[in-house]
Amino acid sequence: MSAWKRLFWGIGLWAFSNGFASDVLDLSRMNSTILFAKLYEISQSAEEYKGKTFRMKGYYELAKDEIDGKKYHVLLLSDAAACCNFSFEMEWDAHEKIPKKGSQVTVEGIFNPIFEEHMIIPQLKKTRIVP
Amino acid sequence: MPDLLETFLNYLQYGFVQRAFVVGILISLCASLLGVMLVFRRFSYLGDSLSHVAFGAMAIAAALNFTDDLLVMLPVTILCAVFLLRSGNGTLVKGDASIAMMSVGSLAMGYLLMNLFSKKANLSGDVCSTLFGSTSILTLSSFDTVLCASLSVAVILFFVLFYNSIFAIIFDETFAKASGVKVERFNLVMAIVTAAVIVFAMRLVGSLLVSALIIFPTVSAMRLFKSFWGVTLCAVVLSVFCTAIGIVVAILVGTPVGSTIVAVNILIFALTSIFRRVK
Repeated sequence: MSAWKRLFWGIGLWAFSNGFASDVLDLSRMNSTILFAKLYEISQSAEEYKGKTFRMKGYYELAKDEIDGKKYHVLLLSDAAACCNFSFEMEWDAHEKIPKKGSQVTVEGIFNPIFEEHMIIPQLKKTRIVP
Repeated sequence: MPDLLETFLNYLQYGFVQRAFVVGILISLCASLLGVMLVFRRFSYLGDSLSHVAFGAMAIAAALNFTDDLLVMLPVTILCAVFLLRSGNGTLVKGDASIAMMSVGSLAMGYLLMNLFSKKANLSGDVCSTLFGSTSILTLSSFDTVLCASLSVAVILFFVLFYNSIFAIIFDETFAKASGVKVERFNLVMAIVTAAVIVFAMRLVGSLLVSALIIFPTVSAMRLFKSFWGVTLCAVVLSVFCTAIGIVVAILVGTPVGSTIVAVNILIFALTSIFRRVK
């Protein structure tokens, strides 16, 4: 491999890595296997990721709480076998147009874990749709 | 290709990917050594049976609200391994029938218990993940890694130190006993090792696919080598290779890890079979 190629790869890798190390944690580029593992890691250390901006790609659903009838905007992400789902509750940004139910969307929002009894509810605040 | 390499190198920075590789390789190493012992003794399906028992034990642990399900899984699986691996004298139900009964019974009871007592929201997802190991290997903690490394060292040491006795017991138990080998003691240790390896192997490929990790490397190796030592060494190399490639493909392409590893094992088996025919 020539010196120029090595330099190019090195810069490319550094830039790519810094893309992941920046304030926006881009999970939209990950495949379902790595995404699920990363989400599991986030769920195990939710406090460390609080306040970070996440970019994710998943399916939008409107879920209804059976007890109080409250509706929640949810982003569903599945693992490779589609048997395990991660869901994020979303609070849309003020002027954001809500997508169609069941549609695949890429969103960006601020991670805000809600700690309730023995579980963590992952929430995205100020969520907006990104291209 | 450069994109894939960059992506892989980037993923390799994640701690859970590094742990997956370390544990995956160690487990496959142990499973291959175990596989040599079981396949030659015609206990190939024991891995499947014990993994189902471990699944049932995990369900019991969940029902009893144990924080660490290993506390229930390991002892129960070891007890069943001892029961299944002991000689046929005096047993009511012999050989493959007892393995089959324990296998399906544990699986059914385990799923029933989980349905009745589990408090988790996504039960079917947890069951699916446990049975097929889609991402279990990518959700390990540092403690799991240390535990697995310790187990692997123990298994390798056992195999290396008692290689001659294991060889004698595998091929002629009666002769081994007559030669002064403490066969009952070895069978007990082998049962414990088998149970421990299978419980950990479930994290790699899931409960339903554990047998593949045990059987395929040995059978593929038997296509290439005739000596016990050759088969053992080849099985270890093939198992580690298939696991490493399987994990790489799974994390790059986005397929379930367990199934991908088994698919690579099948491919290698096909290639070794072709090689043998051509040779």
